[in-house]
Parts: sequence; C-alpha cells; structure tokens
Amino acid sequence: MNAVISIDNLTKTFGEVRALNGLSLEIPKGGVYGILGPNGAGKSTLFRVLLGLIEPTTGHAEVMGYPIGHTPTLRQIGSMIETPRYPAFMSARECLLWLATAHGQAREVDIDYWLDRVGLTEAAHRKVRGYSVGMMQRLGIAAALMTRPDLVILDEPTSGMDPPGIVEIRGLIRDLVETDGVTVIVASHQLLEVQRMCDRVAILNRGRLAAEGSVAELSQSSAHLRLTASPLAKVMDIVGEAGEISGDTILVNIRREDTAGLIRHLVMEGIDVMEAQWVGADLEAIFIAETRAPSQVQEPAHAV
Amino acid sequence: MLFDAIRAELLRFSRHTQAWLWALLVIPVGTAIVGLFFRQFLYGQLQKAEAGLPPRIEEIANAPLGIGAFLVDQASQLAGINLLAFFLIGAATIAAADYRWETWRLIRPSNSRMNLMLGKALAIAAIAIIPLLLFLLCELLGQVISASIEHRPIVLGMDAKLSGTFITMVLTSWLRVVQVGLLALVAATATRSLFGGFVIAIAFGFGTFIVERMFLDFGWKPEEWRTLLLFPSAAYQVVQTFLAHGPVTPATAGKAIIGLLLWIAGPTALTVWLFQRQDLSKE
Repeated sequence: MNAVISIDNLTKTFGEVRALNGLSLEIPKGGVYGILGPNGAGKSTLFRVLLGLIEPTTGHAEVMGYPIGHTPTLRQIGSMIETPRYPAFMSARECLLWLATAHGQAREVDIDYWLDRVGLTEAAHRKVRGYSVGMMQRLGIAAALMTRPDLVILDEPTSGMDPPGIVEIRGLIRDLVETDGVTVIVASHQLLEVQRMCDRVAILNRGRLAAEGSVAELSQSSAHLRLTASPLAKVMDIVGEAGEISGDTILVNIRREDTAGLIRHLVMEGIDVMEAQWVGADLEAIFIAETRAPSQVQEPAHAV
Repeated sequence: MLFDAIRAELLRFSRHTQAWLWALLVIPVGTAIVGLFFRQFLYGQLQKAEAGLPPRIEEIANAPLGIGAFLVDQASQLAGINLLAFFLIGAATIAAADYRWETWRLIRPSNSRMNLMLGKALAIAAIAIIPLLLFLLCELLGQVISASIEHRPIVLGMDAKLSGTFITMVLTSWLRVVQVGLLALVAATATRSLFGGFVIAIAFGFGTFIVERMFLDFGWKPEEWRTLLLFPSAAYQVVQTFLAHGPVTPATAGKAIIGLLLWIAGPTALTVWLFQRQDLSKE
C-alpha cells in the first residue's frame, strides 16, 4: 500500500486520560479516507498529533514519508480541526488573505475563487463575528484547500451545515480527489455522509483501531445470512446465539462458506427454507457493532 | 518563511483598528493636543499680564523654535511611561492573538514554531517604531502651530552632529519600547492570554521601577553592572544621558546597551523555548 500516513503504536495521554492507545494505521494515498468513532475515540487527538499541534506520548507516525512535525511536510497539508475560529474583526476575505500570507502564498492564492467555491462570495466582506457555524465551516474549508495541498485533513467538515451545503461540500471534496489527486481524510459523526463520500474508513474506539477497510469490505465482513424459514423457533434452536430474529426472518452470523451446510442441515431437520440471502451491513450497523464495548478511555495510563 | 510570519502578524494587526488606535495613536496624538492647549493657555495668561513680563520669561516666551534642538530634547525622553504602557496593548494583542482567537491550529502547519514566535517578536519590534515617530511628529506639529500663533520664528537648527544624536536617541528609545513589548510576548505566551500578557508586563515594569529605586537608595550606583543588567529602565536612562552629553562614560553607556540587548534577547529566547513545548490544542 502506498501510504500517505503511517501510524505505528501511537499513544497520547492527557493526565490519566489515554486518548490514543497504541493506534496503528496506514492511510493510502489518494481518495477520501473516513475516520469514524464515538466521542472520545481519539479522532481529534489523532489529527492534532498529525498536524504537529501536540506531541505523541509514545509511538511513531509518518506523514508523506516524514516524521510528524516536519514543517515542509506540514506545509503540504490543508486542515480544519473542528469548527475553526477567526479574528472577529476581520472579514472572510481578510482571513483568507491573512492565512495565505502566513503560508507564503498571498499572491498565488485566488481568494475570490475559493470564496466562490464554498459559497461565501456575498458575505466575503462581512466581519466574521456575524457568521453562523455553517459559514465558519465553509470558510475553514476554503482555508484548508486554497493553498492546493497534497493532503487535506477535515474534522467534521459539514457540521452545522444545511443539507444543500453538505451536498455542495461533498461534491467539492470528491472533485478535488478526482481532478487534483488530493488525499482527503475526513472525521465525521454523519455516517451516511461518510458512506457516500469515503472510499475507505477506519473506525476508532477507545483510542484504538476497531475496524478498517473499504466501505464495501466492511459491509461484506459484517454481512449476515437472512433466512426466511419456518418454523423460526426450530431454526433458532439450531443456530443458537448466531441467530437473531428480525421480523419474519432470522439474521444468522456465520461464515459465508458454511451457508450450504447450514441450509442442508435445516432441510434435513424438516425446516422449510423459503429464502436465503446474504445482506451487507450499512456503516451505521458496523459502527455500532464495533464501538459497542464499554469505553476505556478514562483508564489510568500506568503503562505510559 | 520568517518573513511570511512577520507579514501575517502585521497584516492581522493592521486590521485591528482598536488595537492600533490605543497602542499607537492615543499617546502621541493625545499628548500633542494636550501640550498645544496647555501652551496656548499659558500664552494667553502671559498676554493678559498687566505689569509686563520679567525679561527672562519674556525671552523664553518669544524664543525662536529650533526644530533640531526641540527634537533632540523630545527624543531624550521618548520612551516615557505612558507611551510604554499603551504600547503594551499592541504588543499583547500581537503576542496573544492566536490564543485569543484559537488560530494556532490554522497557522501552525504553515511554519515552524520558532519562525512563528520570532515572527511575533519582530512584528512587535516593527510596530514599536510607529508611536515613537508619531510622537515626535505630533509634538513637532504642536510646536509649529504654537510658534505660528505666537508669532515666534522657526529655525531648523539641525546639523549633522545633532542629527546623529537624534537618530541614536530614537534608536535607543526604540530598543526600550521593543524590550517592554517582548515582556508582553513572554507573559502572553506563558499565560496564553492577552490580559495576562498586558497585566503581567505592566506589573513587571512597575515592580522593577520600585525595586530599582529601592536598590539605588540602598547604595547601588546607576553605572554598575548589576544595576544595568537587572533594570532595563536604568540602562535606558544611562544611554540617553550619555547621548545628551550627561555625566556618563562611553564604557558605562556600552554596558547599558548590553543590558538593554540582553533584556531583548532573554525574553525572546524564553518565549521560543516555552512555545516549542506548548500543547497548541489548548488555545
């Protein structure tokens, strides 16, 4: 795998709170990569470490082949961590000019183009103190993208946006990936949005990697065999804890290669099997399954 | 990349109308206006004097305005306490801006931590010259207006030697303003707060002033190393006295300049050291 980010056994503790707990992960170059996890799973902490805002407690990570904190590499990253804030006395246009200046690209960046891309042209000269959360998000996205970075890290990019805005930003991100070859890493709680936008996802839980793969792979790996059969009680007796009644059907959690054997066994037991179908889980089901275990984020970090 | 950091700081500060109004404009313009009105009040009182003026007072009141001498006189006490206190507003605004607005996470990936902090220090140094020059300009303007009203002649009176003295005095005052501004930088970085940066720098300045007076009363001499190294205000006064041809030797003036420079280098190094270790997710 041609990794844009390689994370090896990364740990970050805040006092007794272990936000990252031996996280290992490889994020491939190109495409949109989703980072999912419940609150406190370590998503924002991971981003902060990758952006050199905080030092990891232990472990190692590389961004584009260089250790984290390497300034020339950081300059190739566009980022937005949570809802960004800006000096209230500046307009959106001034904020972007200021950030482009800080980046040494005041002349190169086409600020009007980016304001237009995120739908802020009309509000460009208004002071940002009057901006809504959604407008701040749009400005943050423009700031993250305007320097044409190779890697973009967006933490909850569509938080606070209305549905048309979400669709617009999704289109913008996909467009960047497909036309400019940019790698985009997105953390979000909006699972449907991640499912639509991302090529691959990682699910974090308690600072660790719970699951990783393409949305299709994860869906398949969490797939169930849906049986329409009669009598259901007799099927449940046979499949035991692997089965779960769902309406008129039973969802059976078995290996795909055991399908024929199970159906043969059910028929031999006198059960009428009307239909058997493998169904993939959606991202929400996978997310809930992978993060169901009780949180250990608050555990003391004696090992560090 | 250091220049990018400086430019970005200056750009943001230039948009902060209130900060530059209070930090750079209020004292120069206010002092000049008050001075002008005060002088005109005195002039009116003297005009009303029935018995005529004593010859010495008359001579002073009607003396021509020598621009060169006036500027040197003003430059010798340029970094006054009011100017320093108000300048701290601007210095603290630059120093604490990214904590105040939670913008470290936006600009940190653009530059190294050292450049970002040196950018703030140099931006403070850059704006420090503004109130000084503005102060001189406003005072001069006030004097020219007064002289015109009072029908006094105006002469330039600025030769090369006087120009040299004037420029050196302004530069020394600039060092003093920068030195005080950098106290705000270190305090704002340590406290992550604009208020902390301002209040601690003010308290430090006031505290060292009191302690300096105490130590001088206890027998410390203004020209001693320990005085010049411990108290930047004393070092500033010694250099200005030397430039005004007062009773200070060149060696003592040199020591005083070293003292001032150390008070600039020390807080800068301390700030960079602190900032290199800071968790920038807690803004």
